[in-house]
Amino acid sequence: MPGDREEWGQRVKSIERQFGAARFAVDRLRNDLRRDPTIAGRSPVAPYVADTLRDLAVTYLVRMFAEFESGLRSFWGAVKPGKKPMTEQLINGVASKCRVPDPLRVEVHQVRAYRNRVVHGNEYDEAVTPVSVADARRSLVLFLNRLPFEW
Amino acid sequence: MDVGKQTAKPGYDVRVSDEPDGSGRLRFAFVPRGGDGLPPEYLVTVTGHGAGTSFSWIKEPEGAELRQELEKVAKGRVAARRAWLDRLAALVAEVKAWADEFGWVTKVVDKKMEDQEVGNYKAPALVAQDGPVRLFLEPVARAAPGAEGLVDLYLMPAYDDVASLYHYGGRWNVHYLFGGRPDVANIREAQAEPLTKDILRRVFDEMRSHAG
Repeated sequence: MPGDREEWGQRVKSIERQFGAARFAVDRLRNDLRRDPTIAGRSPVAPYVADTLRDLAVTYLVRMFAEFESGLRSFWGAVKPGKKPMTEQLINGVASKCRVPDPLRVEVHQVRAYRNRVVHGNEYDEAVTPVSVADARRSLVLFLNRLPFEW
Repeated sequence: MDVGKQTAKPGYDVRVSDEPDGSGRLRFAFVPRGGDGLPPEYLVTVTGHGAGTSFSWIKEPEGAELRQELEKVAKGRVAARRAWLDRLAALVAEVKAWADEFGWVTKVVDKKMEDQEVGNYKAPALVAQDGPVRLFLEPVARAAPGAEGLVDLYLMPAYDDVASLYHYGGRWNVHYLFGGRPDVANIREAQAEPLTKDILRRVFDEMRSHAG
């Protein structure tokens, strides 16, 4: 499947924008419910608003990483047809092929590790540092920027 | 009223798409409201805009009144699309001219936009570069709450947010966190200034100085 690194970068950025919109909406709902708990009516949503707000960033980080991984797989499928490496190997393989600076490769692995902890718990026993949506976007887009313009 | 949101009575959802023949004309499909999955009841191809708008019906309503109503809706959507593209083209041309004056290297590029109200289209965007500093002026939305257009300015290649431009009050307004002003939760809350060459110069100069 042909690809375009600018388009994949914009897709990752788009997830950050959606996160901003969702956070604004849920935060607004929480404040409105505090002022007037009756606005929720008989809807079961009110008890879950705080949890939603707490988990919103990681939810969108998982989506953002999925978009990033799809971009890498699109590129990898063009250069190594039929090969479907695990995500860690995919990142390392693309980094090697596209001469990604090692500090940036490490940053992307930190996003991957945090995303894995969110999705799988600390199953892989990796040292994990929380990553904000904005920092994740920065690392992932800079990595994508090392790919060719098109493939 | 935003004509892009004008609905079709007596209750039709409107879907806009490009004509499959690649002619650049728009096809409007009118589907009875609540009829997800149903084929369109009426289909029309629209050519041109404003006084030069013409309609070629593929599936035409029987009554003249309904036909005129649906043509009015389609014409309004085309007008909204044209107004936005004209506004955007003027903004990009103006920012490009100023950036050229500041000594930045500029390039207008196309960005694919998806819009359920007015159909998909290509919008002009602007890349401006000075040495290692690259800025991207990107159209984001034809409409936003309280605004008739939203364009974002990013520091590339990381897509770091720099400023947002909102069109309201008959002009473009820059929401930017100028140095020394209090932090805010998001760019929309940043103090707004009408877009002028001087304001743009300040933004560009701050980006250049941050790059070191």
